[in-house]
Amino acid sequence: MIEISGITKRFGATVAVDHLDLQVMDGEIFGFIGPNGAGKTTTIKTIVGMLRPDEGEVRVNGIDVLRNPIAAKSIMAYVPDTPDVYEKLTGIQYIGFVADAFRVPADERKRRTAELASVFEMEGALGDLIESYSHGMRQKMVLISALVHSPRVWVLDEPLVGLDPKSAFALKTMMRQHADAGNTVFFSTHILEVAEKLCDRIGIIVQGKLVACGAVDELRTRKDDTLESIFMDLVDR
Amino acid sequence: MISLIRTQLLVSLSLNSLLRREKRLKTLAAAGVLTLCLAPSYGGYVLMLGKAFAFMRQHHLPLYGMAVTGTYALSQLMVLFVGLPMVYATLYQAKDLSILLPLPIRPGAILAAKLVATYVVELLICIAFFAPSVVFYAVYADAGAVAIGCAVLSMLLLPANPIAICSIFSILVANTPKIGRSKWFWYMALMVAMVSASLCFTTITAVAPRPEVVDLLQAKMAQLNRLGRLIPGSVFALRALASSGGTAVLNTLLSLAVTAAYLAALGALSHWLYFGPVLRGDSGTAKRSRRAEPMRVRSFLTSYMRKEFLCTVKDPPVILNSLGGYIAVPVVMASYAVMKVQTKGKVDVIGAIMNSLHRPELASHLAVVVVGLALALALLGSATSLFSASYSKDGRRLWLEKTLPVTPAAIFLGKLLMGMCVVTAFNLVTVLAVKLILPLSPWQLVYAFVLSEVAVAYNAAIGLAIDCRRPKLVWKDTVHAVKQNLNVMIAFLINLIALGVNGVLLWVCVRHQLPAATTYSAAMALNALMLAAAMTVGLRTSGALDRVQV
Repeated sequence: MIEISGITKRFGATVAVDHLDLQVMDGEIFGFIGPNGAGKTTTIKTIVGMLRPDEGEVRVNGIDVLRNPIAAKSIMAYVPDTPDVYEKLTGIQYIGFVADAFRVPADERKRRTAELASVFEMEGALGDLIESYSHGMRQKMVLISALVHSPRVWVLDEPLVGLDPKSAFALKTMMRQHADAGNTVFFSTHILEVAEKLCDRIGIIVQGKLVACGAVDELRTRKDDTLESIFMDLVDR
Repeated sequence: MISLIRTQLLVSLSLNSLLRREKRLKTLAAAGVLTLCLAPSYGGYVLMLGKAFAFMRQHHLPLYGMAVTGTYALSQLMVLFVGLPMVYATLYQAKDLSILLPLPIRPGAILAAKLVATYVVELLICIAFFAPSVVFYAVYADAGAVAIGCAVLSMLLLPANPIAICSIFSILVANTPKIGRSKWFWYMALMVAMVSASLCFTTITAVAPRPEVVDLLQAKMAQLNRLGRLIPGSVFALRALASSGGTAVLNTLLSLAVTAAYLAALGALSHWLYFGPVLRGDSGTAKRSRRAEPMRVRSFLTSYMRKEFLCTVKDPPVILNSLGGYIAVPVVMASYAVMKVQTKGKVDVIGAIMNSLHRPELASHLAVVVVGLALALALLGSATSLFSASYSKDGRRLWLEKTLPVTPAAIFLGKLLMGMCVVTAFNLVTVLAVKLILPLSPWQLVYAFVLSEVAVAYNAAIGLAIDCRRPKLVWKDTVHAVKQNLNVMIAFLINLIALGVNGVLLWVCVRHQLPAATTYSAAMALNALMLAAAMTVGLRTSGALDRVQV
C-alpha cells in the first residue's frame, strides 16, 4: 500500500507537485497519467525516496519513506523512466550487484534471475557488457534487477517504453498477477489504452495537481467516454 | 551546407554558451582566467622569437628562412598531436551519423562539415604559434610582399595536411578488427603520441652548457625542420617559406597540390571505410554472446567495491586521468634519460637529483627526508580524481544508489575503500622504485608507505565529501565527468593545504633540530588526526547524497 499525504515539491519557483494526496491499495494496479512535465516522475521519485518533498509524507506498507528509507526501499521495486545502468558491467554482474544490496539469498537470486531472464528472453545476453545492449534490452535489464528481490510494491515509471510486444505483454501479465496476489503496482504511462485496460484505478495529474482519481467507470461522465476523451477534457480544462 | 557547418561549430565548440546571455559571462570569465594563466608562457615564447629575429638582424645572419620554417614545423607538429584526439572524437565519438546520413546532404559534405570545427580550433593554435614568426619575418627580414603572402597562405592552410593525416589514420585504425574501436587502444596510442611529443620537445629544448648562440639557433632550427619534414608533403611548404619570388609561388602551388591530394585520398577513403560500414550495416554485426558467470553472494561493501572497480578499470578516461600522477613521473624520468643520451651525458638531470639525495648533510636530516618522501607519495596519490569525481562519474546512473536499501555512508565507504586499493597498489610499486634510488632502511620505507597511505586516505575522504555534496551528473562521456569537474580542482587545492600543514611541521622540526623519533611521531600523529577529522566530516557529508537530484 502506498499512502501519499499532502506532498509538495518545488524546484525554484516551479511547483512540480502541489499538495498531492493519494492512496494506492494492496491488490490494485494504479495507473498514473498526465501530460509531459505534469509531475509524474517527481511524484514517483518521491515515493521511492530519491527526492525529498518540501512538504508532506509518503508511507509504503506503513513505513515512512522519509524517516525509514532503508526499510521502505527494501520492499520496493523501482524502474526509472530511462534505463541508465552501469554499462561497464555485464548483465549478470549488474543483477548480482543489486541482489547483494537487497541481500537476496543465493538460491533465490539464481531462481529469480533464471525466471525473469526467461520471461524477457535475456538468457543469452546476461554474460555480455551492458554497453552492447539495445535500449529495449537495457529496459529489460532494469526490470529484471528491480524484481530480483521479489518486492511487494512495484513503482514503475513508464516501464513499457522500448519493450518488444512479447515482453510488454509478459510485463503486463506479471503486473496483474502481482496485484492479484495482494501486492501493489504503481506505474506511469502515456499509453492510455494500456492504462484503461490494465489499471484498477487511474490518477490524472496536471500541473502538479491530482485532477481526477478513480476507476475508469467512475471517471466517465458520459456513457461513451474513453480514457482518452476523459484525459483530453481534463487537460484542456 | 552552411547550416550544417554552423551546427557542427555550435555543437563541437559549445558556442551556445557564448550566444546565450545567461552563460556568456561565465564562459568569458573562464576564458579570461585561462588567458591569464597562459599569458606568461606565451608571452615568453613571442619574446624569445622576437629576440632571435633581432639577433639575426643585428649580426647579419641569413637564418630568417630557417626560423620561419622552424616555427612552421613546430606549429604543424602541434596540430598533429592535438589533432589526433580531436579528429577521432569528431569522427567516432560524436555519434551523429544516424542524424546526418538521413538528411539530403552528400556524405563528403558531412565529413567536411565535421572536420571544419577541428580545423577552426587548429587554425587558432597555428595562428598563435606561427603568426608571431610571420610578423617578425616581415619586420626584421624585409621580406617582400610575395614572400609574406606565401607565408600567410601557408599559415591558413597549415592545419589541412595534419588534419587529413589524423583523419586517414583514425579511419584506418577504427576499421582494424578488434582494436579499432577499443577505448583502451586509443588512450594508449594517444599516450604514446604524447610521450613521443614530449621527447621531441625535450630534445629540442635540451641545451648543452654555454653553447654559441649562432650554433644553437642553427642547430635548433635544423632539428625543427627535420621534424617538420616527417609530415609527408610538407617539404614544399617549407621550401616556399624559405624562398622568395617565383620559387616561393611555385612551391606554394605544389604545397596546395599536396593538400588537394590529401583531401582527395581522405574523400575516397571515407567513402569506403567511414560511411561505407554504416551504410552497409557492418557496424552492427552480430556479437558472439559470452556465457554468464555464476552469481556469488557478497556483502554489499564487497559488491559495491567490485562494481566500482569494474566501472573504473574498464573506462580508460577515468583510470588514466585518475592515475595521471603515477604515470607522469616515469614518463618525465624517461624523457630525462633520453635527454642524457642525446646530449651525450652533458645534460644529466637524474644524475643531479641522485647526487643531491646522496649528499652527506642529508644524513643528519634523514627523518625529514623520510617524511618528505611520504608527503611526495601522498601528493601523487592525492593528484588522482579517483575520489573527487567518484560520484560524478556515476552520472545519471546514481539513481540506483539512491534507491538501494543501503545507507549513504556504506556507499561512501565502498568508494573510499576501492579507490584506496588502487592507490595502494601504485603506492607500493612507487615505494619499491624509491628503494632503488634512496639509501633508506626497510623500516624507514615501511614508515613512509604507512604515512603516505594515511595522508592519501584523508585526501580521499575530503575528495569524496566534496563530490558527494555537488556531483557533476550531466555529461556525455565519463571523461567530462573527470576532466571538466571543478570538484577535482577544489579537492586538490584542499589537499595541497593539508600537505602544506605537514610542510610547516617539518620546518618546525628542522628549525628546532628535534630528534628523528619526535619528527616521525609528530608527523604520524598530525596525519592520523587529520584522517580522523576527514573521515568524520566525510561520513557526515555522505548523507548529502539524499539531497542530490538525479
